Amino acid sequence: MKLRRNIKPLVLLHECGTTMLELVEGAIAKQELQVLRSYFRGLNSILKEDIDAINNGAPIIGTHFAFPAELFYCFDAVPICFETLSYLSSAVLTNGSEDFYDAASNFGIPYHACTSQKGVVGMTLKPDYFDVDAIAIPTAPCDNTIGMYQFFSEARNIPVIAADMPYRHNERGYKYYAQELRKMVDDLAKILHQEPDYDKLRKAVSYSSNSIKYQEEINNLRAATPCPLESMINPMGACVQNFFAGRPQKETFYKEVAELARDRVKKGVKAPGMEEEIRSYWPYMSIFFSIEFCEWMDRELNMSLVCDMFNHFFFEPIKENATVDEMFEGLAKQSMEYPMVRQSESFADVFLDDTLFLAKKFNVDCAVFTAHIGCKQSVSVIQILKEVLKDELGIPLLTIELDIGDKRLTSIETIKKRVREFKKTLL
Amino acid sequence: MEAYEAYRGYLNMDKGDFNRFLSMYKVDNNTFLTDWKNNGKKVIGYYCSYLPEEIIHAAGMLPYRIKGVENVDFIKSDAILSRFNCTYVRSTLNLILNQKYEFLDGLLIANTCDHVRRIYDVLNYQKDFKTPLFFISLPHLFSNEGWNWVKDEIYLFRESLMKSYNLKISDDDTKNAVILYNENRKLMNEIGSLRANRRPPLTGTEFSKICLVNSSIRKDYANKELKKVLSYLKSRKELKDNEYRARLMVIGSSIDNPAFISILEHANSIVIADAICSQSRSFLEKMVWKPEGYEKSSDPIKELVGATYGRVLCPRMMNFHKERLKQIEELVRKHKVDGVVLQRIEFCDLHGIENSFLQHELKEQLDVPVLNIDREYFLGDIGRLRTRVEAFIEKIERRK
Repeated sequence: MKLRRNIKPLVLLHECGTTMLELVEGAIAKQELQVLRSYFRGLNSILKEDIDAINNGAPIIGTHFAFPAELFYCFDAVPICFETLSYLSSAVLTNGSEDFYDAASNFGIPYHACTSQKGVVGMTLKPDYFDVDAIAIPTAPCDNTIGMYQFFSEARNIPVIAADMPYRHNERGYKYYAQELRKMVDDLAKILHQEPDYDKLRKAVSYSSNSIKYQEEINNLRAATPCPLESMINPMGACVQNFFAGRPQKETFYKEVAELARDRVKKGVKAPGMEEEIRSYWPYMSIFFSIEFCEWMDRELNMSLVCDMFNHFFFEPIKENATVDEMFEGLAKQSMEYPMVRQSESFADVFLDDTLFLAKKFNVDCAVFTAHIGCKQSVSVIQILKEVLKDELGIPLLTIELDIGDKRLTSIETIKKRVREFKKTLL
Repeated sequence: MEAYEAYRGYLNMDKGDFNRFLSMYKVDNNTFLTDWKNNGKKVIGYYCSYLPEEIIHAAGMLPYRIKGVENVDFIKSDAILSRFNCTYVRSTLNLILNQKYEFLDGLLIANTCDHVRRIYDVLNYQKDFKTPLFFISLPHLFSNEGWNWVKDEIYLFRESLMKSYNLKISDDDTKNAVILYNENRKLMNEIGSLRANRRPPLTGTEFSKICLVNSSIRKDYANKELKKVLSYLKSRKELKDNEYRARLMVIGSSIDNPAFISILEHANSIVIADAICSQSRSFLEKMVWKPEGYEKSSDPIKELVGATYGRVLCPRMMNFHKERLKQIEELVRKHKVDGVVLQRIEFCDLHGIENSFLQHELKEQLDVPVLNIDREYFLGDIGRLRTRVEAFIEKIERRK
């Protein structure tokens, strides 16, 4: 197999991440930005390992946030989550992912397609910039996934293997999807010319299973008033969940954050700089293109973003002594109940029930919905969500139309203004 | 001789009859629908070509494809949906909430695209909406497992229909419906093939209306009428002398508003082929995909899987772009297409993204001129559209 070695976005992100961590460690007091430090330590370490592995000949598998990345660790390969890559770049690069979005638009991708994939589409259109050897993804949770990954197979000639995720999230659906994951591993084995090593898979699953236990603890601790964690845990957690999946860095990150939250709750202290006048739940996700937005909410607006859709998990860890079949069944169930997939690739009842459950659990005063232009299935249910929140819990919901990965649709100043005005109505 | 006269009479259709037939795509002109409801019979609405209409027909009901064509504003739908939803779906929801579809006794929806599937959810939460809702879950890949999944879904739908309306749908009823629908596909294809003629006897706008009417009436009635339409078109004189400036093919988002086709045809051009779900894509005769070891079955449900899942070419199916391109290529050759119009309704991601690579493939592989447009369903931008179409036709003429 001829390997491609164009990995400039990974190198760039590693350089940015390293510089950022050095700056924070060198210039900011130790008790400040602790979540950010844990995050960049893990991210930089993963990027370094991946770059080294690729340079030593490991094939690159492009993948999707809604796919259980643990599966790829039964091969000697480097999985790169495309959605995370697009949005990590939008968060830390000087011009975000705008050049990549523009390259995709110049090719003909519509402006309303999701930036989570459009970033990587643009990266692959730039000469000698980024390429992968194969792509393995689910057919969920949206039309953009279906459309954009056909771009990679048809316009870039990259082999794309898809596992068909059913709309019905019941035992019949889980069984069907476990079978699809099995087929995918078989197909990938043929493309990579490698045999799957299920002991390595078991190891990867154990890192994620241990993380789930910490995540559960974090979710319970976040219910405390004041919220013990910085709001920035939310966009960072969205990245960690898939980009760190199957790696020891995931366990380490959540362990450190859980210890931090535990300690703060025990001492009754809040996150540094946070004055929590208002607590908010974000039923969709926070903003990825602005790394400072959450800090602004905590420190200037005094409004905490306690949790978003991407940071609460409704699945159980896979048991340690699971058979290979049980691991596939467990991973199938986990990825069908993964944040956003669970709410998006199924009936809206789940979305509504989860929002009510979490708004109640975190004892929030309000909700904010980022109506992302790329996410048609989510924006379709905002109004019913708004009505249910009001009727059942008396909680108001603010809707902001934007692109979570591109500041050019709605600027960060406009977003801040909307949130600020909304807060005034609550006090 | 008497039999021959009766036969001729049966097939007779004049220009007036033809135009009356075409006008039935609008609810108020649909005399069949009015009679059907006046006789106390039931109608089940549905949204997409993938859905097994045959089951509804076998239940003695009328399967009626939901259209947005008669919508005039978005007052009710925009209070529920977002402006990032496509205007086709917003139009249909507005019509539903405005009681335009009050004749429906049920509504069948599937996870065909992100906009359509959420109609199920928003209607489910409308306190005043009492019409029973049905849902079919469809795979996004062609596979043996997907085939079996769809088969189970159709069985489940048949069960729920029988339970909801306290009726029986036998295998024989289903078989008869399958036969009738196969005949309908054949007739629609025969009519569609007339468009390949050097001087086609019907315009693209007329063909679009025939497709819309066909999805608004029972197929036993439709087949009788389509035979007359076919006979009329074969003997039609008035269009045969026309030389058109350009023969166009249209591809992309659903078009259930014939006014859009008439804009494409306004500059003495003619739409003679399409790959549109509300038109030719809904009655492809040949199956495009079959499972391993597939054999025709006496089980009508299995036949139905082939008629829906195995036959419809939509970009919602992930592993089949090459087949869709092949089908377009065949039509471009067979119908001697001068130019292709790729169009998407704004916010339609499936067609918008596929059109982005189709435009490159069509230009580079087929050397056919392409016009790639985004549009609103409600045709609020006709002047700009007309100018672009005229410029495109001039471009085609310069190549000739």
